[in-house]
Amino acid sequence: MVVNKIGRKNALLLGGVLVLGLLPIALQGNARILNVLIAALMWGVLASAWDLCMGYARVFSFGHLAFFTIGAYTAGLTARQLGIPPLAAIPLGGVTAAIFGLLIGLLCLRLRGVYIAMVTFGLHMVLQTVIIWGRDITGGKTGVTGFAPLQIGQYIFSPSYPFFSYYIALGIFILLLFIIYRIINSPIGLAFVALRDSEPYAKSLGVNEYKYKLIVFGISAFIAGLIGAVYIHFYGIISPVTLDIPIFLMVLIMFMLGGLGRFPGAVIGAFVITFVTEALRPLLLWRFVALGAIVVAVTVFIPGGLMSIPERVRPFIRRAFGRRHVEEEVS
Amino acid sequence: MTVSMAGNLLIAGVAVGAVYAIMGLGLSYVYGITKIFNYTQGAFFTWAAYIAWVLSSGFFHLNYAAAVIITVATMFLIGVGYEKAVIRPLRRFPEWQMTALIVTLASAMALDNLALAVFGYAPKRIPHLIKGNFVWGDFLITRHEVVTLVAALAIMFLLILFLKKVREGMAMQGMAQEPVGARIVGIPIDKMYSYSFGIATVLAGISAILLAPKILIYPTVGWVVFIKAFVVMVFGGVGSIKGTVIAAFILATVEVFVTYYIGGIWGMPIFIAVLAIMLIIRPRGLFGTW
Amino acid sequence: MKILQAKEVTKRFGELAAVKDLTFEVEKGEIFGIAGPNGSGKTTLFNLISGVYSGSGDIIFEGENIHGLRPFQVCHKGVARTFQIPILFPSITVYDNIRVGAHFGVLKGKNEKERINEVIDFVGLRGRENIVAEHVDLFDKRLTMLAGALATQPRLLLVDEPIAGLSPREVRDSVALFQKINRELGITIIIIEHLMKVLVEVSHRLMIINNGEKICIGPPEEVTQNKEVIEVYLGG
Repeated sequence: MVVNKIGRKNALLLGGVLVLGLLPIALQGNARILNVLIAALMWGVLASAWDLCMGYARVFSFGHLAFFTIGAYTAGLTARQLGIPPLAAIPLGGVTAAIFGLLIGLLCLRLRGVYIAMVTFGLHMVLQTVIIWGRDITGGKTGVTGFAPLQIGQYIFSPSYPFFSYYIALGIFILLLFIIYRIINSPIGLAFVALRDSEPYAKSLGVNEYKYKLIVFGISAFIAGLIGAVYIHFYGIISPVTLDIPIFLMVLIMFMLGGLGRFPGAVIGAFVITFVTEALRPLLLWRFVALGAIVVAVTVFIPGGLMSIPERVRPFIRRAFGRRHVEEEVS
Repeated sequence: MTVSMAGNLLIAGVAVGAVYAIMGLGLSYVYGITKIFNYTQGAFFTWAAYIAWVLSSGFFHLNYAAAVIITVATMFLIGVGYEKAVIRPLRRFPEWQMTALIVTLASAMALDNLALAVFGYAPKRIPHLIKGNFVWGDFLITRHEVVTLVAALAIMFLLILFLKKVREGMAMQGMAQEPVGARIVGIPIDKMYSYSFGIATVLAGISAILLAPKILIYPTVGWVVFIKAFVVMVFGGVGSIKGTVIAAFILATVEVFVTYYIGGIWGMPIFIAVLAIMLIIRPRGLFGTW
Repeated sequence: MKILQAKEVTKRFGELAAVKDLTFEVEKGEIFGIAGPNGSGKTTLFNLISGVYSGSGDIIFEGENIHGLRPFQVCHKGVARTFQIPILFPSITVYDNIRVGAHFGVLKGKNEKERINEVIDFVGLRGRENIVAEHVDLFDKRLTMLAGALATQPRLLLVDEPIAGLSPREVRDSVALFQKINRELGITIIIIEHLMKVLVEVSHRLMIINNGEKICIGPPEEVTQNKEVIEVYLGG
């Protein structure tokens, strides 16, 4: 039964990857939709990394958009100022973000809940100030362009080459999501869940809570920074816009909607939200009012997120078909 | 630095501190009672400022005293209504405080952008409560600042009275310490929650009326004040009225001096740095009890 | 041989001393019972031994002072515990609950799967190990917690009120299980319990505490005859 269940989940994940792989062909290279899909893939990685921290380890970080931006600026600025090629600059962005993640993790070791949220949000705000203030290096509010693009032959990873870019983004997406998936199913993931479910109990069984708090900050910041670096290479510009509150909320909603701590809910949420915000674009200023209202509605009406729907629906279906699920689950 | 310059900066710091104190008390108060960290407090600040503007110079041209009273009353209704419509449904779920954090943040964004959609980018201005200054030698303090200080102290006093003496206040305090016990004893939790949101929103409204005349009103103005109020709350110790007020005066004074000597853009980083240091040395703040 | 020695252990919460100058020794291989009225400092004592709190005085485990270590370090030294309320990790299976102890509680753990399965069989959870922990009944929750603790391969096991809310039959099973753990695995057990009857039955020696202070210590038959004990505990 259990083996069967895990098998089914893996099959579903593989099926999902397959669908993502065939989408561009099904869409016949529709550039506009493909570019939205690329954005959804990148947001999906960020949302999943953030969810690793918030959903699995229940470490209340509001700093992951900052880690994303740190990765982005590190990659962009080193590429531009020092001429480092993208293939080196992107991992460098991840590593720098991870270092910041560990530092913030150290600050947060003895803190909990809302306090961690605020310290990490503090990083977010300081970063915004530093970027705007350090105009000479960071380009201030307008940002920086003109760093070497990620390029293979004549193909450039940018919105102008959607078909090519989609597969590059998908490759990165699969790689990073696979890492996250492996972490969740490793002893590290077990420690996260144990500390989340009951910290005193976990500690009494030998889990070192400080160590795993640092690990979760380090790993999730690394992935966030890495995808931040990829993101700016795709759009060819880095700017503090990525730190705006609407974007912050948008990513937050992605994994909330998908289901907190329910891999791959964050990815599903990312796709839904990316397309919804895209669809809401004509609303102009009212878009964010609507987005805010959607978040409130989602959290009030589907608190477990989209991934919890099968669980909620199953009892009803069973009742309707008169199957005795209790026996089945136990056996 | 001359003595008079330092003195004037100090006076300014104290006056700004009074506003942070009121705002911080609102946050601390809601957190102490409901354990919700309320991100909408900033948006309520913004909206109170806009409502005051609409009632006075913007649209209705009411007598300013009347405008202030209507604004405060409206804010109470908004706070109570917000709790009933948005927070109460969340309370059915486990771990709802965490969900509430995200919901209040989303509400804040919706309200900020609603303000932007309705009032536009152009900054608005509302009048001072009272015009004129008190001058004493080289020292100068505006009458508005005096009113601000008096208001802050009065609010602090009222809140302390309210928490200690009034029956409902006692119920609220009991609930902060022991939510389950409070339920068994039969304290009307729903009422306490909506009242505490109402009161906190009124505090946001009062801070807006006091601070907005000195700065401009724009759709995200509440955020800046909100973040500072948060730092004040943590610095002073969550749930401690005394701590919040003292922290507000200390931080505002530091901010005024930093702004004057190093530059306004450093105000916020200094706030955050102070917060980080405080959290490392003494995570529960000056007078915190948790 | 002494496995645990507590010397003048004190813990204050503000004015109140929850545990006061407590000195006692636990022999290797025994079941040591601790009884006392509610709020007498029993659980505080466990929290001191297992590193949740730190106070003053020495707590010597196998000749080494462990007072002031963090909980996970105490666990690695070989002291495991259970909690009064069966908290568990509700979102994962019983098996994974035990896996946490087996993986993190042992420093160089080999044959993790084998050890988990051994423990599952030992406490009698076979057949329920794949159920998500929040869905099992109270007795199984207690067993899971015990199994998790055993999976850390302790030499001293602290058991906090293990039978509250159980049926008479489950109580009998629990008592038998503690004796089996003690006899077959050679694990020293300190058990806190409220129900004197059970404690008298299961422990080799008994300590009574009240208001954080030791009242008497000795074999159960002796302790239950002690006048002061009858006054503060059995009489009340």
